[in-house]
Amino acid sequence: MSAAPLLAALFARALPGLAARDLGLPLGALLPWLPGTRAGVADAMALDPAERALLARFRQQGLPLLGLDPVAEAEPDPAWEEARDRLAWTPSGSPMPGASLTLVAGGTGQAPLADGLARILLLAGCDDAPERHDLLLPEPRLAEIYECLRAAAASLAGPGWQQGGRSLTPRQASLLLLVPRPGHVPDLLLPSAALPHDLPAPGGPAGLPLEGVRQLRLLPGALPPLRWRLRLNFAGAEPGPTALFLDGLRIPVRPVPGGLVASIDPPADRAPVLGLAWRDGAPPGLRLMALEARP
Amino acid sequence: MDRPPLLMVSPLPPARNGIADYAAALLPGLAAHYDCAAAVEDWLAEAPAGIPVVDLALAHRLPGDGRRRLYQIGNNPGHDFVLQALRARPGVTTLHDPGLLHLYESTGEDRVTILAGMRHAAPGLAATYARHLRERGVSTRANHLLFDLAGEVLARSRAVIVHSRFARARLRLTHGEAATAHVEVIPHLLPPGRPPVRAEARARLGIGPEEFLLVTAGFASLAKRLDWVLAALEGLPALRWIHAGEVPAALAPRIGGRARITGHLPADEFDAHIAAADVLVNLRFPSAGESSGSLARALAAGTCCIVSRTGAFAELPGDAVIALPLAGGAPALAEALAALAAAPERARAIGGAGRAHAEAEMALPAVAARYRAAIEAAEDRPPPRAEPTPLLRLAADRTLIAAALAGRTGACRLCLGLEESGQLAALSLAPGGLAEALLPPGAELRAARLEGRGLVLDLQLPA
Repeated sequence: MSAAPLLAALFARALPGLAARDLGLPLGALLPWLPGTRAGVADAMALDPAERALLARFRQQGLPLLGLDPVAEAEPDPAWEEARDRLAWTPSGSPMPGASLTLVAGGTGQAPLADGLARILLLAGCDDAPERHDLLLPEPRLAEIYECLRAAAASLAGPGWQQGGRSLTPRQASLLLLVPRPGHVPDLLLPSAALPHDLPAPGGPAGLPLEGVRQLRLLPGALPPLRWRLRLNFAGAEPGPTALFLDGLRIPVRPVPGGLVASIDPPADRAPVLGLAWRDGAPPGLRLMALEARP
Repeated sequence: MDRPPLLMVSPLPPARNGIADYAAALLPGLAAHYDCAAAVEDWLAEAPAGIPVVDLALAHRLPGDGRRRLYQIGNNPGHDFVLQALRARPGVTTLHDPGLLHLYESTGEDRVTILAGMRHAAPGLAATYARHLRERGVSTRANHLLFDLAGEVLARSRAVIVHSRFARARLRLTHGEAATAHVEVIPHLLPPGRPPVRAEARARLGIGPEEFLLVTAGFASLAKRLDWVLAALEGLPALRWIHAGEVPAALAPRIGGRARITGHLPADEFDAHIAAADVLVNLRFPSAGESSGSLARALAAGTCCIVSRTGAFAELPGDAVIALPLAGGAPALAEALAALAAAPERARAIGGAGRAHAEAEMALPAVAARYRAAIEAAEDRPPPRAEPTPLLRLAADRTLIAAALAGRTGACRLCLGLEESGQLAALSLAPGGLAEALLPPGAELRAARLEGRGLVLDLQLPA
């Protein structure tokens, strides 16, 4: 899903103030790339029970992941409800309740549009492997949103990029944004406050408190299938002897001042789970501040 | 060689757990037949070289997730995660101790589950003992012998492996032929590597050549009868006694007055103590049919062993150990020790016979081959059908209930704690009724009843 960073950049530029929900876990393609995105699943019961149990361990900003706890989701979410534009990224082919914009990963195929809905066909990603995604939206907003996306695509485009689009019918438009290899893969900086993790206490602007923690899982979301250099930034103390895990298996890690560095090859079809472990618990005062990733 | 994948779910070293050592010793043997991985709760656990260790919560993401599963379960809280994993997916289970009441009690399992297990294990006795537990919170040591709580493991496992015919017979008597038809006996395992040479081990520990050294080993549970050892040694002041392991605080002053207590030892130190001994005293009373890693190590080292003629120990050949009758207690032990001290060459002869027996029956390749046969036979069987309903104990709080049920499917039983009787009335009168007040969408309420101060709900959760 290499188009996800590109689409995230497109939507962030086109629709400032956008609130986003990535309901595509266990893939989580949009999650790392669009700041403030809440993570979740579109259909929990369709997941393998072990994967569902794994995802149910995580909390993001103190809340369960979306789609796994209907009671928690019944609570008000002002950041979502008060946003003018509410984007849901989902593999499901129908509009998500509560979302003003539904981005259907992989497109909706030839399915007819429901009354009152419009669709923007997005062709995006690497120019030698374009991906189709469909944006479902209320029919009256088609022209406005299409224009915002088209203008954002034009301003984003760099040398060698292909971009264009047109209105196809009163309820349908298309937008193309293609990038030469290796695609649009920017550096990533994820503050710990935004990262889903499985500790009981949420983090905040001062970082995620780790003192005494023996094991911790992090769910950063999907990274395009390249070799990535990860850096975990800490504050309050040096992390000391720390083991790092990718999808439950230990990988080599190197301490650097204020952090840990590792190289990973993330899986292509799901968000990797990063693990940190300390034999005798994390040192006093240690806080996780951010996760950096560079391709 | 194309080896099918196998996931072993077990504690591993450095956990202070004999079953962790057993699992680590078994894995290289299994690796001759399977592409092995070990799933753990402690991510820093150590498996033998070449065998990946994976966080159990992520084991399903390993390539070849349909892999065969082997669970190692013992009767202590270090195996809670193994039980949970077995509940999630059936597999072959090695039941190191046929009694699992302590596991259930020490891992926060709901009292209703424990009482149900007690009822199942010994219906004729359960009413009385369950009343003691329910009304007075009394759980006696007798409970651990009378009520094994192995029913759930038997029901959820494709096959169950025990280390003695005694353990299998005990399970069969309690749970019946049908429920135990898939129980197989595979002897305990010799520890990996060559045991230390006796003379070197004694020199390392500062044991003189003429000293007669008695060793007891492992965590000194009451059933290991160190009280008998203490009494037996009253008339044998020349014998030196080392307890290679931990002793509970309540026993430590008494034992420490006669023996040197080492506390928990690393494996090589532990082996050195056993190899240095003239005799390992490894008693059990009462025995629940458990196996003994210390005994396996002593047999491997050629150390003479004195055991109780009970449980799994009674199955050892008569010339391989000295088996004391249970009725003999401390006097019989004193007599045996005095005879060995007077004729140490007899201890050597018994130790040699014990080693020959162990090498024939308990060597890793032979044990691993028997595991393979059991695992493959289990693959051909249909998965277990009658899975006991999991039971969750929670406060009567909709949010907590939703969180607890997230990810679950099928039948489930909730036991909801009620703060006061008025709470039940309020819930019943809620708009939409009790189910809507408490349960997440899709959960079907099949039955409800009151048990003490708990409201027990039988649910069917959507697949």
